[in-house]
Amino acid sequence: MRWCEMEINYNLLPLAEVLELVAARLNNKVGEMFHACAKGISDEHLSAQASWQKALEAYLTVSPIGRENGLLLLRFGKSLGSSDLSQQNNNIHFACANLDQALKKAVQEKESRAKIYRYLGIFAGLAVVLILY
Amino acid sequence: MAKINILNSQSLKPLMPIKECPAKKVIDNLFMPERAKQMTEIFAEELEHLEEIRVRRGQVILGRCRLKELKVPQIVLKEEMEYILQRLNQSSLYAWEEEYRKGYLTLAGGHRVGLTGKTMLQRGEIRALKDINSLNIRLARNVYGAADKIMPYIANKNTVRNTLLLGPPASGKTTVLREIIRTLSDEKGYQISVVDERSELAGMYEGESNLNLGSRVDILDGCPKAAGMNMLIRSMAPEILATDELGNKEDIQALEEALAAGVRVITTVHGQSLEDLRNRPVLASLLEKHLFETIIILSKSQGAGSIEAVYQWQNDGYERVRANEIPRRGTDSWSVGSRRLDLC
Repeated sequence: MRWCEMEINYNLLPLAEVLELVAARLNNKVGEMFHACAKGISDEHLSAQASWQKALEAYLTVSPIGRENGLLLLRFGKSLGSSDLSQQNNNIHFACANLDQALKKAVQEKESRAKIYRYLGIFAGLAVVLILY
Repeated sequence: MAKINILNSQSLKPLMPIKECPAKKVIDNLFMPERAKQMTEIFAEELEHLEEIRVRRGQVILGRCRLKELKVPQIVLKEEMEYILQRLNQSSLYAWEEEYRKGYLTLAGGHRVGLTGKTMLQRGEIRALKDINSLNIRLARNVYGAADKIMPYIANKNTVRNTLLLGPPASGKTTVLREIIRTLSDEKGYQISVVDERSELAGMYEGESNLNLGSRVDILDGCPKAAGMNMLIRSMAPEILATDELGNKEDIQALEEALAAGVRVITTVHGQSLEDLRNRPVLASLLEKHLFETIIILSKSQGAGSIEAVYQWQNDGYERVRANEIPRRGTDSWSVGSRRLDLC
């Protein structure tokens, strides 16, 4: 997202080019999604929104990001390419803030689950010791 | 007065295969596939001569060429207009904000698309253009030979006259100017610098010119005319400077500086007569200071590129050229049938 923002603001590159550049840097499943979206715009003459939705739906079938984050990205795509520079920036910032939030939440969840599993492990160990003696 | 339509001449170049036709490329690129097919069928053999395509929401599409208007049935609905706009701005509105604000954008190939819609104002100035409802796609192309008949008024053996092409919108000024530049460059061997503010003359795209201006031409693309003219005089040492559509005080100042530096200038201005120039405060000085030695008035009365009159500065005044003073050429490749250029 931040790379997108940079290319859009400093180079005013067309969206398909921006997505291709970011895809080349990522070189993973997210990169493939960006590449598919760029192709949809340039080769299939789809609107940015339609192309983003198509690429995102394909990505969600292989990604573990969950429905909530999927909806977040889908909403981000609705404004893609059809708004002026300041609005486009606002949308990117909004999406980034939401994704940061989602990431923090995921990290917190991971930490709390890790604690639970750690306690469970300790209690299970204690239970085994008590049973044996 | 018989007039010659130099852009509609028979002769200019063999018909190009339809798939290479610039108009076909634009249609295929901008319109939905079914619409593009329909337009190609309706425009048919006129496709190569197409001058403009007008697209208005809620109306049929109109094509114009050689004084003919061709209608493409079925009105343009909101969805179709949105599709065309997305194709125009490459789904990247943010990248074209400035062009939207000015009301036009230039496509690869030098084709200019004019836009109208709802203007958003800020302190009395146009900040943005939204809800686009009308497009005028003006197709740029080389019309080889389009300047043949007027070249004797512009260049002779040893010199080039400072020349102004005057005409209303869509009268062929840019096409004729493009051909003058190409002729002076390729056939007369002059070093020419071009300020192509709107990328219409050379159709520059990613550093390459899509329209032929000749082999001795340096192009400053997308640069405001006044700044560009000053820059080119210093950097490229041109013998001739060419630019399209002079309009404001800064342009005229830069023009005067170029002339003072000994550079010959060929340019265009919107207007229909010398009277029009006299009545415009900024442009009146062009006549008062007789900055141009030749003024050629173009119109679209018989199709784009019709010559209305040629004036030359002599005996302390602009004199209209008489028909019998027109130099004859060995081959008259541009002439239409038996009509002759009758300027008086």
